[in-house]
Amino acid sequence: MTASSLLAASKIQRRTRSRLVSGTMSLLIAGAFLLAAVPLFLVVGYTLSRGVTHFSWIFFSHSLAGVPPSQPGGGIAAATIGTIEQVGIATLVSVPLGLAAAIYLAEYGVGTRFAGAVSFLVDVMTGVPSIVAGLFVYAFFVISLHRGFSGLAAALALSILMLPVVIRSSQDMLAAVPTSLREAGYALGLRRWRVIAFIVLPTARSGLVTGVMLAVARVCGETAPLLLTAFDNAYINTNPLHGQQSALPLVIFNQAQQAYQPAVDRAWAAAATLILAIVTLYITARLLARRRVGGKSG
Amino acid sequence: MAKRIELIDLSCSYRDRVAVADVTMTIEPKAVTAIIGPSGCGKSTVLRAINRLHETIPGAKVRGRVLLDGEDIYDPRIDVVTVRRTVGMVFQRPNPFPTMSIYDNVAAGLRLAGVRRADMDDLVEEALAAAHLWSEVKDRLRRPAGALSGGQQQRLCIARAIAVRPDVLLMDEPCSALDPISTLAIEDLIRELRNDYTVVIVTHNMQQASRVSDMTAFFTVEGPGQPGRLIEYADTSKLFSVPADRRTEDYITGRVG
Amino acid sequence: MRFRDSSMTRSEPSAVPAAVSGGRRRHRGAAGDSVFHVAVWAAACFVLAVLAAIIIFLAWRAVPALRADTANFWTTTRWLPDNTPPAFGVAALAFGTFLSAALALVIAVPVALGTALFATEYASPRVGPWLGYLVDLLAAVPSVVYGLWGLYWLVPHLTPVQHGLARTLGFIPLFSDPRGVTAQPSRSIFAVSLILAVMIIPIIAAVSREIFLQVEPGLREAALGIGATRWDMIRLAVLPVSRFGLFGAVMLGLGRALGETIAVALVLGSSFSIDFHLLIPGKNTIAANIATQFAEAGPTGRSALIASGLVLFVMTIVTALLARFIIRRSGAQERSAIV
Repeated sequence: MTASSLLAASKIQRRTRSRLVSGTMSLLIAGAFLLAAVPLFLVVGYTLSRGVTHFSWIFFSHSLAGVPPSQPGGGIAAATIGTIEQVGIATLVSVPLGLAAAIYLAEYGVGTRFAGAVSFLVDVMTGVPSIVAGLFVYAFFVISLHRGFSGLAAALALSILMLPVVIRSSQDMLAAVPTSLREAGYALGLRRWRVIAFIVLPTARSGLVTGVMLAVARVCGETAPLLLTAFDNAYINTNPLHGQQSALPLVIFNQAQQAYQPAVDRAWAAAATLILAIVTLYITARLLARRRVGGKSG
Repeated sequence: MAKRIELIDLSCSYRDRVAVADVTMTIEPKAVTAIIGPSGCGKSTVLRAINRLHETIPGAKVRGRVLLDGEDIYDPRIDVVTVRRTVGMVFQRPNPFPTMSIYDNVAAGLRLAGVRRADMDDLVEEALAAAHLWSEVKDRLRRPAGALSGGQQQRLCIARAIAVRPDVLLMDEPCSALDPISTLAIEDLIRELRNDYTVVIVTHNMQQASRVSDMTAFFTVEGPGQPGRLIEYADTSKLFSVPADRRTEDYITGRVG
Repeated sequence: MRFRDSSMTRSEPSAVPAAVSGGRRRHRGAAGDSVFHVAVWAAACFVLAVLAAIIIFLAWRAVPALRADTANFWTTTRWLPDNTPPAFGVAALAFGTFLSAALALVIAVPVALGTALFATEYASPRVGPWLGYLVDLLAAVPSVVYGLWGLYWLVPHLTPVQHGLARTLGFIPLFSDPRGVTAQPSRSIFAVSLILAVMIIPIIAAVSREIFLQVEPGLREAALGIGATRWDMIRLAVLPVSRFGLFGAVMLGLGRALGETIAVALVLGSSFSIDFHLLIPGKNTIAANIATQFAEAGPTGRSALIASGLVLFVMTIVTALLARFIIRRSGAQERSAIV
């Protein structure tokens, strides 16, 4: 660069290829973001608009018993009860188990090869397709243990899907608690399990809750494993331990494939319900995370 | 080559505080100017205002003027990329592009400037030679830059910076992450670089400043929460032997900072 | 979902507890400590047990059908496990699984990378995370809703696009329409791949974002310092060091696309064929096949579906392993690169 003036050089620079390329790439990249964001609004918006118009008291209080696909009426009562029970049991199973495993990975097993292996397998487990989880519970629980289709079987399949997510997010939250807090506890003479139970866990609490909420949000929309385990039921079945049970995603799946408009309308309404529930969970979880931990979030 | 830098009423702030205020000084070409002072006094901030890196931090602002041979680099008609090509910078931690070869690192700036392939080899060799690195790497130009030692990496960064023949070379504590041997090697290099460039070096090592520079500027903070200010600016030998200001004397004798 | 090498973010618990748990209180309190320790350790063991159980039981239950299969399980395209004699194979299913996943990746990767770059390099640091959450919300939408929307909104709206492609680019076999069906809504693998792409974009984007955020800020400054425009800086300082991590992110997306069941089952007009016509209805994936065939299948049928599920499981495990290895290597490379 010789002693040319900056102004002259600027005029040339502005027109060079690299400037054009940079500008074009900026447009493309911003465009990519729009391409990603638009489907979100499309899908959510369209589902809500198609579905909410078919909301009614009957829709929420009745099941599909006795309602053929060609007839309007009926609703998601059986499905809602099923989903709540199945997701509830799955949460009750996977959260304590997952939290315990996460505590092991974050507090006790740090650096050990065993913990490394477990951590690795948790990652593998995150990739288990939901249908495979369903197949497993079908093969093991429904057939080998002769338990038959039930809400409990569905809940077990959902736990397999929730468990690695809960472990991973809990582990991250626990690891984010500063070591200095733990050391303060030890310095006071507290035993290790007390330090974990009374110092580490409360500190990580909001992050842990956020992680669980996100895991629940993910799992209440799962359909594939339910096809093989709960097997759907037009009638309300409040007993998760015995007998086929319905669930929101199953209703959507089945009604959507019918050739009759009333059935498809019901599918949209059920889908709208599901989306509202999930998005609410999701946004609540995010807001909770950012407010409590002040920036560090799951 | 080697332009004169004039700072006029320069103030730099971040989103929540003013880092340095009311700096007015003239930095001579073909000379090494050192900026010293306690940590937090805004030395690096001043440096980053000269190559317009300061403004890349969200919320950061610059007021005042910075002239290169009379042209204000903050003039809206002037392209910031051009400024950064004219004002080279070497950072505290050596930061060669790790996935690129030694050759490609030096050539990076040249390619950005649109230099022709035919001229590239010569320019790369010149830059590496000027950075006292050529003989050590001439047989392994295509090897990754990450394999070099710390001192070599820093000299590579210097080569990368001077390959595009900037008018000014800014150095932000270039030796603080290096061992003493590499430090001395780079100090020798800096003394040579004064022949072709305007060199401004920020350092917290006063001995280094006195070894290497022609002029020295001393900055400090008057109190907690205050912005840094230029206190004294003079010939290096004079500033270190008979400082005019009490605060300068306190700093260089170690009573403070 | 974030993917992090567990050893990178760990804060080491101090060595103090050993000293503290010695001493006079040892016998009384130590029991509580041991019980807790064993309990959490057992939970960790359980994870291994579950994974092993999955593989074992699936293999066990798959055997009866595999033994009864009169056709070659790997090369046959027919799916007739409940026939006498049973004849079924995963050839068409595996083909469809890979094809739909590959197409989905082709569409999703540029969009996801662009999204991640936008959030980390262009948006301000305060807005960036919220943009990330917005895209994450895409992952929150259940696949059954995607399937419903795909079937009743996307496929009809896609008709002019598919028909147009078939007419203008029909000389390329990929886009040809031998039976002239694209004038009607076509439940094609192209439509399915679009939906799959939308579903995997958030995963790839989220992981890519994390990778980009981990790039040393000094590298970005180095690029800016030699006079780089923003895109130059991305090209020089951000993308090269992120290569491995990005590949891992893509692998994660691939794994997800391979296993996606319901959206595919709802949208794809299935047939057991192997062809490269992207715009016509037909073809099938392993997962969708399980979902659609299960209810009506007999015992051999269900056993056969389990066998195909096992194949799918192995596919996704291999992908996940690859992803993990590559992301680990990328972390190591970034760390050792600078002094």
